[in-house]
Amino acid sequence: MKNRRMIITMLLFLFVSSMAANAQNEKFKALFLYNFIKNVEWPQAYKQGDLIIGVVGNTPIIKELETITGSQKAGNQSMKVKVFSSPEEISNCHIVYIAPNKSSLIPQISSKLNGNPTLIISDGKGGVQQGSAINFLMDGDKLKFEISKQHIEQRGLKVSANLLNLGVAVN
Amino acid sequence: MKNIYILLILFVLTAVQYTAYGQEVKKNISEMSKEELSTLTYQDLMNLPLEDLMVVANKFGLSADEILEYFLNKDVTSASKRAEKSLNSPLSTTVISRDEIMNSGATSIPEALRLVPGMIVREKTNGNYDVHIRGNDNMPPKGMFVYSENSISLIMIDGRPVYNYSFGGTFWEALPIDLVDVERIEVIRGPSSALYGPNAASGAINIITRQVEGKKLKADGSVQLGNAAAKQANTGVSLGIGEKLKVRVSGNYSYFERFQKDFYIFDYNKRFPAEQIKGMRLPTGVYVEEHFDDVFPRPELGLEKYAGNAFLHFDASKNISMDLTAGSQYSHVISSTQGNHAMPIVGRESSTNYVDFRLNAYGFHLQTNYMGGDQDVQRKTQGFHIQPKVFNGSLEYEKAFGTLILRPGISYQSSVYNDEKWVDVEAKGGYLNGAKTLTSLAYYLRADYKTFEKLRLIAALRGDTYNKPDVTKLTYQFIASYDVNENNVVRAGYSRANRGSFMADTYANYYWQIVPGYYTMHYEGNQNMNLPVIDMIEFGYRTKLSKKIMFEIEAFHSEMKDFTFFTPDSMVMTFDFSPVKQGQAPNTSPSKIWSHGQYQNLDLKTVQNGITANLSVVVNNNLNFRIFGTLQQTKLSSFYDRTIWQDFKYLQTACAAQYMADLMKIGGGDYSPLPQASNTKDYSAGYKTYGDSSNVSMTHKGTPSFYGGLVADYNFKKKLNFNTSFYFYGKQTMLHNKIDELGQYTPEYISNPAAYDASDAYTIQPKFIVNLKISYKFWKDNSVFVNARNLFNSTEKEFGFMDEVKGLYLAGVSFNF
Repeated sequence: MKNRRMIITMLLFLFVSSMAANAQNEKFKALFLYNFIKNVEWPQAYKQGDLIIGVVGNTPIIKELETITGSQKAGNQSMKVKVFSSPEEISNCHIVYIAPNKSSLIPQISSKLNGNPTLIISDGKGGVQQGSAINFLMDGDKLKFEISKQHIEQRGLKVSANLLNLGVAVN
Repeated sequence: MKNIYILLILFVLTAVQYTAYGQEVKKNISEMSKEELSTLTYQDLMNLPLEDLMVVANKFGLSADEILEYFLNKDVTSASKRAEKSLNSPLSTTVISRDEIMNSGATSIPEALRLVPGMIVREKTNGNYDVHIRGNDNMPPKGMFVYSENSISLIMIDGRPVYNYSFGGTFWEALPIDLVDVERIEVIRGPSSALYGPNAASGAINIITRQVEGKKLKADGSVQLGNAAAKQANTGVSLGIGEKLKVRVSGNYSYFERFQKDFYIFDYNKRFPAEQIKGMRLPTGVYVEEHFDDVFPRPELGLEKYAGNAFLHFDASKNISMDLTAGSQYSHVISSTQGNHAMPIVGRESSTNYVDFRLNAYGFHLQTNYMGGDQDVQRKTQGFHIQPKVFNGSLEYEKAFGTLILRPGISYQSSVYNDEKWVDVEAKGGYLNGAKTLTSLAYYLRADYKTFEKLRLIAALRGDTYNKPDVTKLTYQFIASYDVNENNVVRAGYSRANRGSFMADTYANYYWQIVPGYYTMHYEGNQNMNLPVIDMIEFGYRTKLSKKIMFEIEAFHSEMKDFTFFTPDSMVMTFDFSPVKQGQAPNTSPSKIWSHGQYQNLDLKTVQNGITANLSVVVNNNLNFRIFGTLQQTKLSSFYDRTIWQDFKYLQTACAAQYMADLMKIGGGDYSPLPQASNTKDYSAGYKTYGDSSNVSMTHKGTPSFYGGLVADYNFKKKLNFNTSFYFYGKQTMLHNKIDELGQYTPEYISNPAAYDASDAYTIQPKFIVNLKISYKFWKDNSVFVNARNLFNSTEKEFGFMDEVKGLYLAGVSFNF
């Protein structure tokens, strides 16, 4: 009974305010992303200075990430959000998040960052296959993520077993 | 003075900020309920490990914004029978959640209703409450206590009506469930018969019970003790068996003693200790309470109740779920009487059982339930002991056609009340003298249509065919609601609802031996009355001023008529002429009195205009408050401004005048009035002989012109919770049918009746009640608490002729594992 009510409520929620619902998903994506940082180890040289989170595309996640980076630290490192509108602008990032509407740029960004210890996170179907390390996806109303151990390690990053377990493994 | 109290509270709140310390509670996220999850702050979310974060994000579909949404804009089902946000509710509704109730420290379901806008809640004796929605209480005025009961609101537990069909109203103490079982309470203000059927005339209250979450064996509950011998224990145990079956078993026990243990007697306008009343007679020879020890075996008792319930929920498949609930309760209270007695209070004892079955399958909703047992409405008082058997069945189907949602339904209700076990049926020694049945069969349809994205139109129609009176009553609701934008909703509605009939006013056929063998009153019901009906027009506006502030205001105008009222209509006095025949002085009093009264519709009409406003504010994740109030005025027209006692006195005088006239003739030498065949002669008088007094217009003083409250909840480091609530109402006058005779046997009254002032007995002074609960979580979700109801011990009585209500100070433990 209550489950049904909850489903009806959620359906209403989805239909009536899909915009608002998206914004709320962004909040969780940002929180997930912050957790990825906690579960990934960068090379020694990248453990100093600010931890840079690059975002490609104009997306509500920027605001959410700024909320987190404003109050939290990654180890001893402060975190900063940098917004890029094109792959050319990207430089010196620990993480690059590619917004869903910029998914077509994944292969280009991936090859541009070849050899850099950058964790590439995409948001859309087939992201990992195109070269990202972690990809957000919605399974029904559930927020999940695909993860490729290979794509992470080939960039000189280390990933915790826990993170690999929580994600959907894709190679 | 009040400022000092407020300062004191602020001081306590501040002091605690410095003294409290605590460690963050580590609790397994996957075991947390939605309510518990909703208490997580954004900071908590940032600190959660990813696996827990995923649980929060996915398992419960909860987002950080929903934390605010949860408090300000809860789901409400009762207003349209489908889940929707409070902001969008098409009716005047309020939902109070389990957490709000628990934090508030309310000791019972009716007390918890003080947290709801538009509710008038007065405590009669310790633990016993009068609850009204908006007003039309103490209506019609100058009647018996039964007219102060709320017979025009429908209370339901999970959609099962728990109405008392004997005299109309709700016996709150006889509800089998208690706060431990409550998930949330939904209150609809305003006529809603078209949705819920008869008796939802001033509104409806649906108490929704808890749903078991997860498979783990869990137990929760609380124990608290306090002054007035207060003891309260509640517990529930739940378990999931496999993925589909959820089981919960619960029990509750409460005991409260009265704050005043003596007894008020109308005719002396004074309270007397129990020992003094035993054997006491009024100057008329009538016992104040002939069987005092039977009626009041424990004169100190306020309320005692205990009950057990079992809840089964089964998800048969994705589209089929069912609930089976059963329980048993016992209660014994000392509270206001229903009828007319020398004292305003009596004992009431109930022992009932129920079973309720609900099935949801492919858009169909079937509900069927049965309640039976034994109720001694006025303990050990002739005529009031009954066995109720109440059956309800309904089937509804919901189907959406685009943005049009149709919900047709059919409902059958039957209540059979039987008193033959305890009365002399032949002598008409009870109200019913056997099994009597009230039934109604209803067809209804609700259409909910959303057009142009923003405009919502709702129409609900329902036709109830009753057996008594043999009529079909149409009730309806038309609502238009317009979303100005996503944070502002305006609405307007017009609705009609009616009260159903109940046993006493329909079937009463009671030869009430007021003075056995001497004075008999034939108390008769009426099977052909119009059912009371209320029409309302309402305008509402809700706005979310920001993510953290929601404001609601509703303005209503209602008109109610066809009240039913017991009215005396005739009297026969028998005088014995044997002394006259023997040349002695004539008798000055009759040898026998027989009188008759019957329920009738009154000409009375009431018009109520009012405004209710509510402001909810989430200051931050630790502090939220709500402030609400209602301003109202009720006007009466065609009010019959006489009490039954005045009518009876008129009839007595009319009979006696004829006797006197005969005696005068006899004294003058005309012996024709002397009875020939026997020594006695009957003199009769009828009701209509003195004309009509139904023309009084006045402002009703029984409903306070202002009532409302404030609730503030403050949480410190998730360990310490402060909840303070205020409840306020303005001055009222309880117009009871004894008010002209109060103290009539006192020397003061006898020497100068006109100067005698008994208004203290029925005037309810404004009251400001402050409650405070402080709880401290010492381990996981287990806490110790102190709970003060009426913190500053304001001792004014809250209901006419009832006990003073004093401070109740409790301490206890609540557990959850």
